[in-house]
Formats: sequence, C-alpha cells, structure tokens
Amino acid sequence: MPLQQKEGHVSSSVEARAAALFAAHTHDIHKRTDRLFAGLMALQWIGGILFALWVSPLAWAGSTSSTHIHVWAAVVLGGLISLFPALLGLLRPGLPSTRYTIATAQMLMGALLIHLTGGRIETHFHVFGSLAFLAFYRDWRVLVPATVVVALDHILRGLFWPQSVYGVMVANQWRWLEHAAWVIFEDVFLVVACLRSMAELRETADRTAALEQEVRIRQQAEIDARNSEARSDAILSVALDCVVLMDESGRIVQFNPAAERTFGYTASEAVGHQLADLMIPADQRGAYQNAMPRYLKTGEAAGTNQRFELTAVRKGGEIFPVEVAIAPISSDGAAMFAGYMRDITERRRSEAALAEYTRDLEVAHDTQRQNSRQLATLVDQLRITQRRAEDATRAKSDFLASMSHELRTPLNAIILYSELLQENAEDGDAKQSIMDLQKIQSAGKHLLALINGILDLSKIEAGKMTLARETFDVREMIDELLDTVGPLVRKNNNALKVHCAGDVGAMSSDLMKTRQILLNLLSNAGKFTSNGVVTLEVVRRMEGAQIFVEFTVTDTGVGMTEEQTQRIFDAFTQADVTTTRKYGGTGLGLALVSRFCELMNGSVSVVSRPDEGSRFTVRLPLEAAPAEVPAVIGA
Amino acid sequence: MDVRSGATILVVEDNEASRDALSRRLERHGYRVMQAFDGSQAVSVARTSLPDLILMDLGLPVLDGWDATRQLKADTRTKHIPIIVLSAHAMTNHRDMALAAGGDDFDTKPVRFQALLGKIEWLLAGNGAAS
Repeated sequence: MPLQQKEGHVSSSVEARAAALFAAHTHDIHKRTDRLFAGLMALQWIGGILFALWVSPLAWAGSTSSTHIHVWAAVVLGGLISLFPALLGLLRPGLPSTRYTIATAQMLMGALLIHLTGGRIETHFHVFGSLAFLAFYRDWRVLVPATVVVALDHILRGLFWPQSVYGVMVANQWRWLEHAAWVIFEDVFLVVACLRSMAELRETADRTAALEQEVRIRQQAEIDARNSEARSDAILSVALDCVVLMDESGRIVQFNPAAERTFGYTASEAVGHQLADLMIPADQRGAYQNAMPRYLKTGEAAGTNQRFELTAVRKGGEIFPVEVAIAPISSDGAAMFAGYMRDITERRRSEAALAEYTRDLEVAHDTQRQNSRQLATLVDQLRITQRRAEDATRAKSDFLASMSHELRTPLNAIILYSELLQENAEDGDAKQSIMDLQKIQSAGKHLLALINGILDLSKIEAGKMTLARETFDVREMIDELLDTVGPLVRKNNNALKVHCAGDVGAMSSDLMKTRQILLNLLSNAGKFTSNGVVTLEVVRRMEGAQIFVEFTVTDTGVGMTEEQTQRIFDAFTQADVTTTRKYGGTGLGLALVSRFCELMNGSVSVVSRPDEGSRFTVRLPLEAAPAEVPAVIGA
Repeated sequence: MDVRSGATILVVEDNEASRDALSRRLERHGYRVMQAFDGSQAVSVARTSLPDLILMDLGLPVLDGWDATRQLKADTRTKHIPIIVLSAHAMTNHRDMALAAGGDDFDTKPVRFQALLGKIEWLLAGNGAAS
C-alpha cells in the first residue's frame, strides 16, 4: 500500500507537472501567436491602405476627382477592424477572448480585402491564408468564429451585394455554400493539424515531466548516496574498533582511523593492498587465503558473522592478538567484506595478570592453610607439652602429698611416744631422760614443720592452694595470735609492742593464711632479736581505688645485709648457712609468707640493716578476691 | 589429770605404733580406750560397745574412714557418738570431706596432743554436732 500510494503520488505529481508544462507551453504559443497577429494586423491595415491608394487612389467624376471611397474604407474600416484586436494582442496576449477576437477580426479583414478588390476571386485566398495563420494557435476553436464570420459574410453579401464578394452582379444564392465548403474542407485539415500538434505538445510535456522526475530522483539518490557515505565515513572515523573494508579479492578499500592507529599504516598506504599482506602474520597468511575463496564459493564460512580471536601484525612487525568479526556487505552487486578488529593486547594482559593474581592468591591461600596446619600442630604439641608439664607438676605434688603422708605416720608415733616417755620421766623425775626426750620431740616437731612447709609450697606451685575467704575482725585476730606468739617473742627477753589503728576494723580474707603470715614474721622477729623490741603495727592504707591492711613487723635484732634481703623470700635460703644451726627454723617460713601474700593479691617487702634490725611490711587487700573453686584432690 | 575418767574412746588406727602410742597417752589422761584397726571393725565395735567418742583415721583397710564415719552417723544407735577424724593427709579438702561424711571435728597427724585433748573434752562436754 505505501509503495502504491507513493507511486500514485509520484505519477500524479508527474501528471500535474506535465499538465503545467503543457499549459505553459500552449499559453506561450497563444501569447506568441497573439503578438504575431498584432503585428500582422497592423501590417495588413497599412498594407490595405497602400493597396487601396495604388489600385484606385482617386475617384473620377468627370474631370474632378476625389479620394476614392475605397481609400477611406481602407483607412477607416481597416482601422476599426484591426486596431482593437491588435491592442488586445499586445496588452492581453494569451487569453482565449483575445484570440477569438483576433480570429474574427482577421476574417473581417479578409472580407474587407475581398470587397475592396471588387470581389476579385483571387483575394479569397486571403481567407485560406488567414485560417492557416490562425492554426498557429494550435487551438481548433479559433477556427469556429473565423469560419462562422466567412460563412455569414458570404451569405449576407452574396444575397445583398454579390459583386462585393464574388465580383459579379448576380450570383447563385447557394454560392456561399461552395465557399464555406472549401473553408470547412481546409478547417478539417487544420483542426487535425491542431489536434495532432496539441497531442505532440502534450506528449512532449509528459516526457519532459517524466524526465524531470527522473533527474530529480537521480539527484536525490545521488544526495542520499553522498549523505550515506558521509555518515558511514563519520561512523568509521570515530569507531573505536578497526574497520577495514575489502573487496572480494581481499584488497583493502577503506581503512578507518582506528585501523591506522592500531596497524600503523595510513589509509592511503593501506588502500589497494591485500589485507593479508599487510595485517596477517606470514605464517598465517595461507590459512586466510584459503578461507576467503571458500567463503566466496559457498557464501558461508566459519569466519563470517561471528567473533573469533587471531593474531595480527603491525607495520613494525609486532605481532599482537586481535578479536575479529567479518561481515559480508554487498555494494552494487559486488561482494565486499567489512572486517572489524579490536586490539586485545591489553585485555590479554589484564586477563593474564588476573590469572597470575588468582594463582598468587591460591598459592598464598595454600601457604596460609599450610601455616594454619603447622600452627595447629604446634598448638597441639604445645598443649601436649603443657599437659605433660601439668601432669609432671601434679605428679610431683601427688608424690609430695603421699610422701608427706608416709612421713607423718611414723612421725606421729615418734612424737607421741617421746611425749609419753617424757610424761613418764617427769613422773619418775629422770631429768636427763627428760632433756633427751625433749630433743627427740623438738627434732620431730621440726621435721613436721618442714614437711608442712614443703607441702604448702608444693600446693601453691601446683595451683592447689586456694583461699578460704571469711570476714574477721583484725583486732580480734591479732589478740588471739598474740596468745600463741607472745611467749615466743618474749623468750629472748624481748618487749612486744602492738599498735593497731582504731579504724582497721574487719577484713574479708583467708584468716588462716593471714594468721600464718603474721605468726611467721613475729616468731622470726623474736628468734633473731635478743633484749630488744619487736613491734607490730597495723593500719589501713589506700592505694589507688583499693584499700589495704598494712602489717609492719619491726625488730631490733641481728638484721641482714643487702644481699641477704634479696634472697630472703626464697625457700631454704636463710640469711646464711650458719643461721639454721644457730637459730633453727625450716628455712621455709618467709618463702611461705611471700607465696601467701601473692596468693592473696598482697605483697611483702623488707628493709634491713645488719645489727640494727629488720622491718617487714605486709600489705593485704581489705577484700580478697572471691575464692576459686577448690580442685578436687583424691585421697 | 583425769578430767573425764571413765569416758570410753574408740581409737581407730591401722598403724600399730600410732594406735598404741595414742591409746596409751589417752589412758594416761584417764580415758578408757578401745581399739579398732580397720573401718569395718570400728563400725562393729562401736555398735556393740557404744563408746563415748571415736578417733577415726581415714586411710584404713577394708572400709575406709569416710565410709565408716558415714555408716556410724547413719545408724541411730551410733549417730550420737562424736567422731574426731584424724588424717596424715594435711589437705584442707580432707577436712571438708571428713566433716561432710559426718565427722564432728578434724585434726592432722602427727597429733598435737594437747590440742587434741582440748577437742575431746569439748566434745565430751556435749558440744558435738550430733548432740
């Protein structure tokens, strides 16, 4: 439908154009002919006057003569007939009324001529000549008024004035018919000539219009082609991909700027060369040259209308990877190919980099996994080692515990028997035995103290010593303690002074251990001081946000050297080896004090000078940390 | 010296020397002493003789001190008898376990005899947990 519509539109416009051309042409003919007749009529008028003057300039009536009537007739009548249509022909050329008027006037001029020549038969040819001239209009209709005028003229003058028209006095009344018949006879040919002429004119107009149309279409097609080319050139020039057009023999026809940049050839260098020679590495040219003819023959190939990757070569000889798509395009029936190519060096490089990165990551991942495994193994080993160490400590602790038990049992008997014997000796007043038995008892008790001390240290080291927290009044605890330790301190003729600050109040801690600490320190002080003073001071102290109870035991005894104070809290390191012999003791007392203080989150320190005395300061938190859950120990 | 003469104490101890020495010392202080050398014997002697107080060792053959203590404290005939548990294991948790088994007091060996006498007198005066 749209096509037909368009065709219809085109043909109607061609027809309209043809009609316009025809109209313009006929109008032009009419105008030209009108002007021709304007001139012709003027000439006829003047010619008529001259002819009248020449044939009968004067009318003789005897000897007098006057200007012949015909001269006046030629001047006046000729003027009346000719002037108006001649003016119309000049002023309004081309109008139908003008040419009808002219046709009428021309025939009237013929009639005048015939009349002025006295009906001379030869002048009737003027009528035929005029008709022929009128046929210049190519309009058969002008012949109608002309013929009517001739016929009427012949009828009327034939009836009333035959001499004027036929040159005879009497004429057959049907003679006009013969004249009219000749006129019509000529008319027939003229009408045919007019119609043919018009038909030819019309044909010419049609052809011209068609030609014009064709020219226009061609021009449009040319413009379209030019535009299309400009468009595709613009597209190709900004395309990021290389676009190479080649003909069926593989010769480069077009080479876009991207291709210039990529391959290093200018378009003028590239065009006309075989694509294979310029852009395909030598070792692959064969495959390409095989593929192209196969495509041409079959119209299909693996290479067309799909993307693939191959290697290309630059002007400098550098080989690089390209992604290629080849599409067949036809131009005026000649097979052509568009090759689209993209340099994928960068892409390959980033793909390779990505692959390498991934590989590195995997390696790193593997290494990490391996490291994790090694670490896990190490942790396992460490755990085993730790368990072994713990087992060893526990075994040692258990060994000590059972050793303690085994030592205690005979010791129990020794002490009981020695006490029993001592009681018996007292009853029997055997003084020497009493002293000896006291030595056995003392040795037994020392051994017991030693066993107890070792056991306590062992428990602390094995982490089995726990705090039994209870709230007790410090003052009361000290009073009770003094009952036990007082006699020990005063033994060497020492004075015992106690200063307990009023605000000390109660503390929440392990009562037994606190007491043990003070007992050890006070008995030590008493032991190493003679005829001196032992002082116990108790105060509260703030240290940071924590409240401590500070116990200070000062004596005026033997004191210690700097070196001795540094080792005093280690087990079995009394001030020196002679000390034990001289003063007794297990060598564990201060070690236990130190461990107990640590266990209770407190501290112990000492200041001492030889022969001047020592001062031990113990600080214990007013509130001990909550007791841990005691470890269950088997019997 | 014979503060509570006539009171009968059952000494349960597997070590012969310890048992003998302790018994003789108690006797010196005016107590009547009965002896048992394992837990099972201790239970039967206590049931038949109904002593006023029992000194119970823990590490005993046949029936250990804890079980013996538990049985005695579970028996209506003997549960009123105060028991002082003695142990050569000077661990605090032995003390707790002994008291949990029904013992009225605890002491470690070697025995501090004067202190032990004090505890015995205290319990015989009717201060035991079972009274």
